[in-house]
Amino acid sequence: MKIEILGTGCAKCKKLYQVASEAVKEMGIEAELIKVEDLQAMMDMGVMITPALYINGEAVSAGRVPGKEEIKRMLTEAGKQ
Amino acid sequence: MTEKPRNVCTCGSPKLMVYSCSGASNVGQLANDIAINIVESGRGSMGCLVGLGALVSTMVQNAKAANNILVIDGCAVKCGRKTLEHAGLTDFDNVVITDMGVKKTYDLKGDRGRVSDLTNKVIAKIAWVKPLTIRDGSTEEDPGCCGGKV
Repeated sequence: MKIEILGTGCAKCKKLYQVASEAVKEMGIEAELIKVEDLQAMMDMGVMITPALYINGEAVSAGRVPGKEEIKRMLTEAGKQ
Repeated sequence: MTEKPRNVCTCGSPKLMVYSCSGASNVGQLANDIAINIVESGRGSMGCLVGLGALVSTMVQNAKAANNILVIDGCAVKCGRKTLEHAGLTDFDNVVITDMGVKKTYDLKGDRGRVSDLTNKVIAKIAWVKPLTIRDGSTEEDPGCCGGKV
């Protein structure tokens, strides 16, 4: 599973990375966590609001830090597809 | 070293996300121009309506993250409104250019002299943007994690 956290390195972005990392660890799943901090890369993807969370190439949230349980649900849902 | 672009703070939520139908008529193109004017006035950001229509996940999440959404339709067909509804968005304001006394034609460059006047009329309809009404009931603006400094 590929998880991308898009943000310019701000506090919310770091928090999202931390929460996503914890969710992955607690679920015991294999996932690659990637930080995308390059603004042009974000613009190329169409991101207008950060932090943004992508799972397997699909945006699942933007502009907020979802809770750990919500991220777990997102990961579970993505795993079914 | 690449210079950091200015005025590109993406943290937090935009006050207002504007979508225009940008359709194939005078009023569709006027809707586009009005949306650009609103963005240039600093009142919000413009979103990609076609991205919502295609259900591109990034575009849908951008819209969901906005505190307020304005859809500018050119005519009574209201393709913009229907596109947002298609993407599962229901909490937005919608203005229609033909409701403001502009007759629809297929002259794509028609009525360009009315852009400023129509922009003011649309802005008057969305005066609720100031002060900001955030959907959770708070009236505090979210400056983003940069504190609104960028």
